Amino acid sequence: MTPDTTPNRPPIVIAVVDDDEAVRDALTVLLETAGHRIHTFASGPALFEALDQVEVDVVLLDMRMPEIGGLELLEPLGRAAPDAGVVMITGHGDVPMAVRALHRGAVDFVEKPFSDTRILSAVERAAELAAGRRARRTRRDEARAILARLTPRETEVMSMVSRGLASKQIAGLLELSPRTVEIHRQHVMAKTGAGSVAELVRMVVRAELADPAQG
Amino acid sequence: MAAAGAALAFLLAVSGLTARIDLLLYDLAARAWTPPPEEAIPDHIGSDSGIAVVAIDETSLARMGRFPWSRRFYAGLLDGLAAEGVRAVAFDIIFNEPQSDDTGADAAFAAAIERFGPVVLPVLDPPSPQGRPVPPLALFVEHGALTGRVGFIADADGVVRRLPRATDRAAAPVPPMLTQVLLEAAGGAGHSPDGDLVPFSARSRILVLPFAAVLEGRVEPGLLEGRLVLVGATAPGLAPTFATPIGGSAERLPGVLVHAHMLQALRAGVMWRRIAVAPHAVLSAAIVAAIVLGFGSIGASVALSAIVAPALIVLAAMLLQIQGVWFPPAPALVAATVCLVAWTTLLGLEMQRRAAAERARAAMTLRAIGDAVIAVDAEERVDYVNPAGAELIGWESHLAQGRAVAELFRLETRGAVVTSADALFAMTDGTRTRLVDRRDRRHEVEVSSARIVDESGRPAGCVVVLRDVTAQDAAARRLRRSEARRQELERELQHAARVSTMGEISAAIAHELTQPLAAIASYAAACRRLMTSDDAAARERLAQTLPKIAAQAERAGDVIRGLRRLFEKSRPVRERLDLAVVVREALTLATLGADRSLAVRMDVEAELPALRIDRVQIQQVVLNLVRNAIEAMAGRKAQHLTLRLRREAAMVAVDVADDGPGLSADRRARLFEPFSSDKPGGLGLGLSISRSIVEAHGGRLTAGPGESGGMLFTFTLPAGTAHDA
Repeated sequence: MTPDTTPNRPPIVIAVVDDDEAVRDALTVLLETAGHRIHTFASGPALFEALDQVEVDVVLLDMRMPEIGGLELLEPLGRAAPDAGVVMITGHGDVPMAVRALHRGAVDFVEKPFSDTRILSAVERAAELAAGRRARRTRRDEARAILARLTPRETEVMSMVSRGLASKQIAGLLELSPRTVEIHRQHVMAKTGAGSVAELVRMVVRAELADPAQG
Repeated sequence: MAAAGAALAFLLAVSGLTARIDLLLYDLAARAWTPPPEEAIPDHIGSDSGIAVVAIDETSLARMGRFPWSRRFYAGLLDGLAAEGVRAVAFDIIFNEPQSDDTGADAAFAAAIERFGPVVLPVLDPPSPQGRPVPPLALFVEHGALTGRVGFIADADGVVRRLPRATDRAAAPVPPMLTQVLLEAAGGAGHSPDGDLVPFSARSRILVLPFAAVLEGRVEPGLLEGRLVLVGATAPGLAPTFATPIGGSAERLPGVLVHAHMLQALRAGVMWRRIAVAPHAVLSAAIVAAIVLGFGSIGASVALSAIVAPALIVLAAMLLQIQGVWFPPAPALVAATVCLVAWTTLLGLEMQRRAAAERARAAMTLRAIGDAVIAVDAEERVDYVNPAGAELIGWESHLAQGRAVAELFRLETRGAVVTSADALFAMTDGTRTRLVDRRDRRHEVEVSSARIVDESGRPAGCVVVLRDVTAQDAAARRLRRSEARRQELERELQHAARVSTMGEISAAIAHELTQPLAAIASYAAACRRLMTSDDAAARERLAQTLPKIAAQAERAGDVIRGLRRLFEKSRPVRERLDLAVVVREALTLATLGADRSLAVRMDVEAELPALRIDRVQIQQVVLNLVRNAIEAMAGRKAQHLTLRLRREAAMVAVDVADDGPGLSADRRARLFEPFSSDKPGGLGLGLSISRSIVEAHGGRLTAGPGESGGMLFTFTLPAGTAHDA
C-alpha cells in the first residue's frame, strides 16, 4: 500500500486544511498513495483542536477559506506547531498573497490545479525542514538541561570561561581566590561532560539558540 | 454748413467776384419793378419833370441841313429859349474848336451866351489817361459860359449806371458833370446827391422837342417856361449812344437823354446808393447763415430752394426802389445756392446710401434664408434666386436668371408633371409637391407663391418660396424605424450588462472552477500511481477514485454551462417555465464565490402557476438583484439574503431582501435611472435594464426598505391566462 516509502524512514504526517471536500479527498488519495499519513481538516480551528493529539510534519494550507483564510492561520500555526513545514495552496490569481505567506514563514506555495510531482516535492521539502528544526530543538533542549544542573556560582564561572577568560581574571572579577575559581571550573566541566573549553562553548551556543520556527 | 455758406458770401461780397451778376440783377431791379404811380411818386417819374431836351433829330437835320451846323443856329436857339422863359441851358455839343467857315458865328454864339446867362458847355474827357480834360473855346467861357463834364463812366459790362466818382480817375480831379453844373446854375437844387446811382426809369417822361421846331418858334406857348433845357443830338449816327439799365445794350440811349435822366434824378434828389462793402459782406453772410439754418430746421426741398433765389432778388429790388439802396444780392445768392446744392447733394447721397443699405440687407436676408426664394418677373422669367434656391434647383443664380421657370425645374404632384408657371403660382399656402431638379434629383417641397403687383396694380411677377422637407420626411421615417431600433438596442444593452456582471464575478467563477480541476488533477495523479501497484487494496482504491474524477469534471461542466447561458446574446424567447427553477438557477450562479458568511434562504409558496417568461432575461433580473444585495451586505459578520416567491392577485411576486445598510429615500428615488451607479466600475445599468425587462413582461419592479433595515426589491410577473398555458 505504501510503495514509495523507504523502510528506514518513517512516513511524513501531513495535515490538509481545505474547505472544499473534493479537494480534501483528492489530496488524501494522492498523498496516501505516495505513502504519507494524512489528516484532513475543513478549517483552521478544526486543525488546532487536533494538534494536541497529533504531531504533524507538514501542513497543506488552503489560502482561500471562509471565516479564517490561510494567511491568517500562519501565525497561530507557528506557535501551535513550531516545527511543522507549511505549504500554501492557492487558487487562481492568489500569487501575491502566496508570496506574502512565504514572508510569514510558509515553506512553499503550490497553485491549484497542481501536478502530483509539484505537490509531492513541496511536501518532501517541508518535511525535511521540519525534521531539521526538530533535531535542532532536541539538541538545544539537551544543552539547556545540562546547563540547568549548574549552581549559580558555577554558571557565572562557566559563562566567563566560555567567553575565554583565564582563571586569574575570573578570580579578580568575582573577588575569589584563583584556587576557588579553579574548583568551580572543574565542577562545571564534570557536570556538563565537556571534554574541552571549545566543547563547552558549543553547548552554550546551542542552548542560547532562538526558536527554530522563528529563525 | 451755415458757417461755410456765410464765409463764402462774405468772401464773395468783399472780393467782388460776383459783381457782373450783381450788375445784371441791378438792371432787373431798376426796371422790373416800380411802385404804383399814386404813392410816393418821385416827380422825376411824373410827366412833367421840369426838364426839356432840344433834340438834333432827323427832322431837324432834314430842315436845317447836314451837321455840324453853324453856331449862329445855337445863338438863335438860345435867344428863342430865353424868349420862352427857360431857366438854364446845357449843350451836349462840342464847342472846343472855333468854327472855321464863318468867323462871325463864334462871336454871335458867345454874345447869345452872354445875353442868355446860365449856359453850360461840355468839357471832354482827356483822350488818354495821362492827358488833361479838353475845355470849350475860351471865347465862350469869357462870355460867361459854364463848363461841365459830358463823359460817362460805364461799368465793367459797358452799361452806364452812375455818376463818375472821385475814385474813377486817379491822375486828375474829375470835373463836375454837365448836369450838375446846369442844376447849380439854375439855382434850384443846391443839395448834393447821397448816391451816385442814377435811377433810370422806363416810366420817366422827358419832354423832347426837335431843334428845328424850337428854332422856328413852333413851340406851344408856356411849354418851356421855367424848364432846364438840354441840347444834344438824338439822330442815329450823329451822337454817341450808351447802354443803360432801362434799355440795355439793345436799346442804347443818346448821350443827351442819359444826361436828361441824370438831371431828373439830381434835380429830384433821389439818387440811389450802393450799400458799403463792409455791411454788405456782413449782411450777405448773415442772410446765407439764416437761410441754411432755416433749411436745416424745416428740411431742404427743391421747391424751397427754387423760392429762395427769386425772393432774394425781389427783396433787393424792393429795397432799391423804396429805400434807394442797392444791396447786391449775388454773394448771398451764390453762397446760398452753393449751400443748397451741397445740401441736397449730401441728402441725395445719404438717401442713396440708405437705399443701398436697405437693398444689401434685403439681399443678405434672402441669401441667409434657409428656404429657397425664386423671384419671377411679369414675363415669367426668373429674376432672382437666393443661394438656398440655387442649391435646391441645381442652377447657379446667375445662370438661372432670365430663364423660364419651366426650364429650371419640374414639379410632380401625385405623379403628374406640372410645368405651367400658373400652376406653380397657384400654390399659395405651402402646397406639398415634389420638385425635380436639374440633375433629376427629387425633393419633397412645400411651395408658397405670392404674386406681386406694381403701384398701378398690374401684375409684376411672383415670389415663390420652396421649403425642402425631404430631410423632415426622412426624419419621420427614421422615427418610425427607431422603435424597432430601440428594442434592438435594449437587447444589446441587456447583453452588455450581462457581460459586465459576468466580468465582476469572473474572478469568483475562476476560483469555483479551480476547485474541481485541482481535485481532478490530484485524483488522476493518484490513479496513475495506484495503477502501477498489484496490491488489491490499491486496485480497490483505484476503482473508488475514477468515478470521483468524473464527478468533479461534471461539477466543472456545470459551472461553465451556467456561464455560457448568461453570456449568450439571445432574442427574447418566452417559454412556459417554473419560476422557482429559473430563480434558483440564477441564485446559484449569483452566489458563486460569495462570502461563506452569507446565509441564503428561498421560500416558494405552494402551487404557483407556470409563467410565460424569458428564462435568460428573468435570470438576469434575479442575478442583478441578488448580486446587488450581496454587495450591499459585504463585510458584515452576518449576512442574510432572503428570496420569496409568492402569489399576489393575478401576479407572481419575487422578493429579494437583504439586511445590509439600506439606502436613503433620495438614493432610492434615483435607483432606476440609467448610469446612476455608485459602485466603483459599475455601469449603473443593471437596475434600469432589470426594470425594463420586468415591464416588458407586463410586471413591475419596485424598491423599498426591507424589514431588517436593508433593501427589499420586488418584481411581479403576470400569472397569465388559460390560453397562455
